[in-house]
Amino acid sequence: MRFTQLAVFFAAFFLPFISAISNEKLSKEASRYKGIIQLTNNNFKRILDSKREAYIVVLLTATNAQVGCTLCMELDPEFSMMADSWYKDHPEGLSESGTGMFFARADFDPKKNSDVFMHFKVNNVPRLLFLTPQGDPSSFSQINLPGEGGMTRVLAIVNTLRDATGISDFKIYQPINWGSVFVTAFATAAVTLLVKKYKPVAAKLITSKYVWGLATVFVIILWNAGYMFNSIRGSQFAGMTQDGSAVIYFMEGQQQNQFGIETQIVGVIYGVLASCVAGLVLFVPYAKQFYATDKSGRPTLSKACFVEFSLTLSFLVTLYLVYGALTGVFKLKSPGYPFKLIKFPFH
Amino acid sequence: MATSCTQKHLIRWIQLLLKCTIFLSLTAAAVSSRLFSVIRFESIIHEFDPWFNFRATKYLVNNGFYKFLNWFDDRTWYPLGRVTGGTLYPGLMATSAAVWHGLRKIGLPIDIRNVCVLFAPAFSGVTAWATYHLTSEIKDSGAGLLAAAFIAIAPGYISRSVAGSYDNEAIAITLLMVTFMFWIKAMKTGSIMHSTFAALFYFYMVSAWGGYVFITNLIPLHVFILILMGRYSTRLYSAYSTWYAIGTLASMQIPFVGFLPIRSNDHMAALGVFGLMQVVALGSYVKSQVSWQKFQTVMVVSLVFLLALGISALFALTYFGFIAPWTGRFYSLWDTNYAKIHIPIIASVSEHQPTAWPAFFFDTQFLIWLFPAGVFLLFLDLKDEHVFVIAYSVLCSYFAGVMVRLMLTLTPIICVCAAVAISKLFDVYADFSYFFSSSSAEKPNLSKRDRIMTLVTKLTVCGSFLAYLVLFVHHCTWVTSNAYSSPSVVLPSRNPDGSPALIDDFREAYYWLRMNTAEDAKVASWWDYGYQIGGMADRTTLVDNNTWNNTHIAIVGKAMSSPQEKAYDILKAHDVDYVLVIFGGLIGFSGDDINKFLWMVRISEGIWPDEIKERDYFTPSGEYRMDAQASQTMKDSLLYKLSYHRFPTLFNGVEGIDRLRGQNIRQVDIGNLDYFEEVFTSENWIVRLYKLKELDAMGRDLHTKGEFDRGSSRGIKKRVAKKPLLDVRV
Repeated sequence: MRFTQLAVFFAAFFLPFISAISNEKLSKEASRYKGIIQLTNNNFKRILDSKREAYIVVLLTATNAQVGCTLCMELDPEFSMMADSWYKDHPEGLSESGTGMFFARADFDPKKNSDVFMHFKVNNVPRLLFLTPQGDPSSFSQINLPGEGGMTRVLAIVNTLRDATGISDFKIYQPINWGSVFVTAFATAAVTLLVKKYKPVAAKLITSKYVWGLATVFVIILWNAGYMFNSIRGSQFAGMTQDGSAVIYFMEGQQQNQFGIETQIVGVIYGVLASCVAGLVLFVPYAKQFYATDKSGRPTLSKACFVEFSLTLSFLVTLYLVYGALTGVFKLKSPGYPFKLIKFPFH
Repeated sequence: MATSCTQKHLIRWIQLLLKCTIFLSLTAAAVSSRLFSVIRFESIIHEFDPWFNFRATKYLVNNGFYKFLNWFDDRTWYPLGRVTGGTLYPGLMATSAAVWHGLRKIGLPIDIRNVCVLFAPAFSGVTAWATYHLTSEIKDSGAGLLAAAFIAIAPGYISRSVAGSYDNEAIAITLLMVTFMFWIKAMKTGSIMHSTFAALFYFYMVSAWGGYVFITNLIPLHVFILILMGRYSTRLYSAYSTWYAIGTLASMQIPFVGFLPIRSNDHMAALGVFGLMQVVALGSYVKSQVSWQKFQTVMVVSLVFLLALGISALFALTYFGFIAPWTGRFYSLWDTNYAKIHIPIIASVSEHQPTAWPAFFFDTQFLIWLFPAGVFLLFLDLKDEHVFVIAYSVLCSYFAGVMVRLMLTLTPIICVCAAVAISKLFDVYADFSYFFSSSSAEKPNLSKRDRIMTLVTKLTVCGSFLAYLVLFVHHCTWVTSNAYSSPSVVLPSRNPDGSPALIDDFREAYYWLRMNTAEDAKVASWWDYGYQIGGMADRTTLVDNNTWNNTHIAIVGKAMSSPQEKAYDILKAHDVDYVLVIFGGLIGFSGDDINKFLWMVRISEGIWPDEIKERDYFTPSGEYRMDAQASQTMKDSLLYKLSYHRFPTLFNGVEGIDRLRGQNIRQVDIGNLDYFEEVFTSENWIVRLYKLKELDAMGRDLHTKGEFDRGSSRGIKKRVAKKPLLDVRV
């Protein structure tokens, strides 16, 4: 009795050191965590620090909001997508040719897994590492993370893994975003219903110059404010200062680069300026005409003149201020720019 | 009666005189603002592509037009050569050769180089004239003059048309505006003459710039939208049919275009609209002959039938290869990720990058926010010609957002729309006739206060917009002078005492090549410098800016990214004598080869994925570094060795400081150069030339020989290099 206990104890204690961690065991671990093995101070030696038969992809990350690692947050769902796609085709974690590959992850928590980070000697996250079978546990190679997020990055990483492991049957399954599907379906249905119900109104809207004009102008402003740059480069929405204390809205001094929010700010500025001009050309004469006579048809010219005067002035002042802001903003991007309309007290 | 008639005549003469004066001053402004580079530097051809155009023009002037069209150039793309005559757009060269001949005929022999340098400024005057007429058709001659003034000095257009920037775009924008002007006139009147002119200028455009496809698609789009809006008319029919028939037949006469107009997908929209036009014409005839109900059935059935037939025919012809699919450059406009994945050579060009918002403001200043206002104001009138402007604005806004270089095609329409907006504003507020009219009947009972208030209103609006216009002129001058007037062959700089100086390394090196190497020497360099080597050094190159053969470029990329012994074999196999690298580490010139190196790696990885891997050139932590931490593959690569060879000797012999990247380069990492020998390094080390060593007479491999020589030459004093004093100021 006592002997068996001792034997079990010994086996449990020494087995990891003397025998390789088999694929079955890793697979069991993986299924315990529903896919991605979470590394902790307790288990990481057992899982990584022994001769193994499989490749292990390790993500060292810090998704805690306090850390403020944007890339980590971006990378997390992408990593899960990779792992899920892999286990979907290979529930045992083995490829067709029998090569094993498993996914592990450590989300920084000083109490639970600081040793993992010490072990890999990382001082900045996220890091995507890659351990070969039979390899020395302290030798690992790092996978480059492409700057551009989303499917591009996932595919790039998968390609790297394919090359490195020789596993050819690693396919990526994009999870269907049911939320967006529902919203689209619902919106389409709602629009169809509304159009059916208010046919004359809909017809009027579709043939209205104003609707088309506004839509066109909106699109033009969006594109002229650098929207395509954001969608091609996948720019960050806004930046953070080095210490993470404040949000930066403008990439200062960089004329060939921008944050996503810059497009919105500049787009609004262009919109306001353009509507001021349109207001001066269209609205002011209209208002003057409108106030030129009172209800009974008697001419009230002095009122009309005053309305014209005040409206014009307010449009001009808005225009001046906003245009001044635009040159100010441009000066941020291009510090050598010599012109300004308004002297800003805070610059 | 008689007096009013003479008065009218007088006014007309004054108007004409004023217009002429305005145009003269506009042209003067347009030309003089483009002369900054000539005044600051000298009359020199700029950048890269212009050097090829210049060389081709010289060939044309020396050999005549027919030889030019049959020109096979064996001095580029060695050993393949290039069928240059059949693969270029001859419009630009033909025009400047004609100008050269014309000037000689009237007794003004001018150096062809000066014709080429001043070509673009001269044509900008014509662009202003065409824009005036176009905008006059859109609104009135007041708006036309404003638009002409805008286009004359807008930096978005100046960027491609300063003196010395002898490129296809220099003439293409002029032709674009002339073609559109005639098209609007033709479409408004249905005049076959104007339509024929539009077609002829379209032909000229086809002969001058690949961007003609823009016209090929924009005019049909305009017609298509008009048909959709139910604005079909016989005027439209005659204008479009004439333009399409003549324009297509004429464009097929250009060798490089050939049968593309009927075989490539880029041109199918024009053909489709031409077909649709015939159907609609038939439909409108039938409609006038039969009852409405019968017509409806006929229309629906025939439309469905024709649509199905057209689309299936298009697919079938594309499938069987009768119609070429979309070309890569065009395709990358729609699917913005396409180029990055499939054609790194397109993605690698900096002018093919997407545009961030400052570029729009930089290139057009306050026109950029007048532009949407102008488009909206046009929407309220929405005449047939306004549809054209709107379609142009939307399309080009998108294109300019996707590719920086297409700012160029957007700028003219921004000028037109902004001019419309400002001119409408002035129509409302700059009308002071009221105050000067003498007849009291037109003066309703306005109190003095009201009259002053109206006057103040009008004056403030006019005053503030005049101020903005003045600011715009200042902005344009500043941008042109600071950003767009550098020839990039010669770099501006300052001496330690602050006096201006020039960095003239490129010409120094090219001149050395021209004078000190065999006439048939082959020079390998990255493709950016191919045209310059051909134009300035007159030596044979392996690859150049034409980039027609990706594999050939990848060979050079592979040589640059391989270790020296392997690179030597590759280069020897291609009969190369010299290797030229651009190195900016000493004075901080950012456009050097090391900064372009990743593209060399990427492009060659596309062809040899097993041998070259981009990952190997990064440090283990994924950084692109040149110092001690650089990966071994990077340190072994030929480009690294050629760039940094002897670099530390400028400092203490152990470690050199790369000013561009701010990193320390160790002599240990650079190692010895056994297969190449340095033959020339320019004053500021920007251009470095190496010769491939001859095979050893004793049959040793060059590395062994190098080891042996080093062993036996210990103690011999080496050449001492001195650090230059200049800095780049760009």
